Amino acid sequence: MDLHTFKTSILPNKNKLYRVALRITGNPAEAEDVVQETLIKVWEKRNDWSRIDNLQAWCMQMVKNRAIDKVRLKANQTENIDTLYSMSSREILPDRKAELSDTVGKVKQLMQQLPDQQRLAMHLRDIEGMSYQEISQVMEISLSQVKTNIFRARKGIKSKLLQLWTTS
Amino acid sequence: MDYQLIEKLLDQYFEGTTSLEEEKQLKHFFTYEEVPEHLQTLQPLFVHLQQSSEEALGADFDQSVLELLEGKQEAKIRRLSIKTWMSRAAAIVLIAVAGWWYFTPPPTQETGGIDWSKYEVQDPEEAFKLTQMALLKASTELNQGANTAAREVSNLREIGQFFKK
Repeated sequence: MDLHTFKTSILPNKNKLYRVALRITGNPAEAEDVVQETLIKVWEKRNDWSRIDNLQAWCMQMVKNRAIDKVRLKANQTENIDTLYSMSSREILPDRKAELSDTVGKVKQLMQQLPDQQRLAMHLRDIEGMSYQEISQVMEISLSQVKTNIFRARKGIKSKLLQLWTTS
Repeated sequence: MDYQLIEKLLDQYFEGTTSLEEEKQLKHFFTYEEVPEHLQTLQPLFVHLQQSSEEALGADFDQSVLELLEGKQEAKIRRLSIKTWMSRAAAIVLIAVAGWWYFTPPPTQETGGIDWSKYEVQDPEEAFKLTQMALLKASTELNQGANTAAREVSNLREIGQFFKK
């Protein structure tokens, strides 16, 4: 029964968990380790599942904390933009990709340069499609702080993109 | 395509007032539709968001996690069975010891002591002879001891005289 719940309700979130871990650690192999370790921890805490309202948000919170711990331990966090970019599993717009790839890569860099809280809040909303309430739960901050972080992150990216556009 | 709607959604997006559904619409538009020139500045942002949402773990990830979990489960079952076995064995030993202690009768006076009356000499003459023999034996052994001591003293004297010379 527990294994069935794990397979149907928890394991399908693995890619979301992975992307959050990847956004924080900046390293695909480390992110995968974080997800694996988190899922094992989640399994060990299966007696608590019935008391948890939102399993996905709970798992996300665990991944976030574990990834942050890992980064703190490692100290020198570096992001390999090329590695991240090449991981996209689907070829979108093959005709436009060539001309877009440079600027998309720059957006990725811009997002990486955002303050940690803004970057994670924007990721959870714009990439994982989570509600403000869920983000607040995952990030362990208030709803208004979530909205502020997302607002600032989007504005920051927009203004830098416009700058890039005018200088190029 | 209604670009006015897209422009309105964009304004709302940057104000942080769009719904999740509207945000999906924006990503879909910028990734899959023909984007007019005046909106192309923001296209890379939404393409990036769309591409990032497709980053995924390898196909064998599930299998490796499930194997790890099964390994943990088996280890737990094994630990439990050893624990159960040990507690059962301990219970059996305890019951056996308690049963032996409960059903074994305490030692009686007859089995616990020696009945010396069986070996007591009844005839006074025989008793006298036995006593006489015992005293004689003691006296002989005492004399032997005295003779041995005298011999040793004599030997020591001879050794002492040898060194004086």
